[in-house]
Amino acid sequence: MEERRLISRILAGDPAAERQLYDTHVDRVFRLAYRMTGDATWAEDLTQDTFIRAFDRLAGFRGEVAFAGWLHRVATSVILTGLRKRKRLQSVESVRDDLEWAEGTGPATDPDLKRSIDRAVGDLDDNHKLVFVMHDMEGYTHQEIATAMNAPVGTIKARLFRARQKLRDALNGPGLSMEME
Amino acid sequence: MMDDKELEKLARTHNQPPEVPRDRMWEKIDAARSGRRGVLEPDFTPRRSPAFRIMRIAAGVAAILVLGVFIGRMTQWQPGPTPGAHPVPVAVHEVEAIDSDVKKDIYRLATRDLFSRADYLLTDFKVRSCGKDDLSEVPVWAGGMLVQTRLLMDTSVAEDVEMKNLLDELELVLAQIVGLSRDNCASDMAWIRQGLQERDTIDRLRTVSAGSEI
Repeated sequence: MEERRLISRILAGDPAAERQLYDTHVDRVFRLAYRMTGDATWAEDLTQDTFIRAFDRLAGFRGEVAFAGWLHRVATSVILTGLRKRKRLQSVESVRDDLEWAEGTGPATDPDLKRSIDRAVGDLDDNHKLVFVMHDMEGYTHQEIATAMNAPVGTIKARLFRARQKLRDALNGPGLSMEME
Repeated sequence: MMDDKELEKLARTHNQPPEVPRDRMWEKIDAARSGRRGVLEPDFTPRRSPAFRIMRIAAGVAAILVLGVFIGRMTQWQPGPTPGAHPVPVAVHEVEAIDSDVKKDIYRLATRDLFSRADYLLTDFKVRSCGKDDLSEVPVWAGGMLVQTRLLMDTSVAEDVEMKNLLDELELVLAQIVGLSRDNCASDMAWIRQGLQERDTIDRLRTVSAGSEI
């Protein structure tokens, strides 16, 4: 109910309501954008685009799904489009070179293994990567991903299974350490 | 082999997000949104009321009935089998049983009648404007004529190349009018008018309906 009231206020032109709705959802959108791109500036741009587009089109939100689901639909569209545009401009290799490593912020992991998982995730196609990132890295449910990607839950599960399979295959390549401990 | 939990644990080290720069991002969003707040993007989804749909269907059914009655009346011109007997009205499906020359005449007359009414509709349509005039009836009339046009396209009338072309053009124009968008009314109308002008459709319809081609 609170969210509906906020939406009504936004439609009436209230910037404070926009900020409130933004504060509620921005963390998940930014984290998703960052996980997908590995670039803070780019993730900021994608997050801004997501909210600007969402606010501009808010009148089209009919409440068939939860607002978070609708917003993530906008976000996944913005992110996938952004990735496609960037791929046209740069080779995959140079994108990979740009990735920033957040050393010391996560659990202790073998640097080779870390690099391997990064490369393996980076090699997934965008749709599989998005499902994997949303589910296994950011903890979205199958249903949330299905809503965001406007696809059946079964399709999402199949993509996740395939993404994991590809990652395992990639990580099982010669010369890579598979020890977690 | 790595299980799902291990894979998840390892994956979480990939692209670990930094702290979310809320305020910095908000500044840009706020700047982009200023001046656009409270201004809604137009919704281009055509919204037609159920009443409008019912009217369109009713117009289509009425048009078929009119054509049936028209054909039935035409058959009254045939000499009856028995002197003094009342002529029997002929429905559309019974046209198959009629002599082929008579059928051709019926279809030609029906085409002439259709073109005559299309001439009136299109001439009137050309001088109307979106903002000032009530256009709600126009698509209904066009819908009825569209049904008749499509029926006639499957008859012997369409064996004549020029008539077939004219029926094709009329079908296109009527379909455009039926699909006239309320939101893009002015541009849609301008587009339709331009097509009518370029193909000289109204004059050609008038020529046929005046009888010079038949």
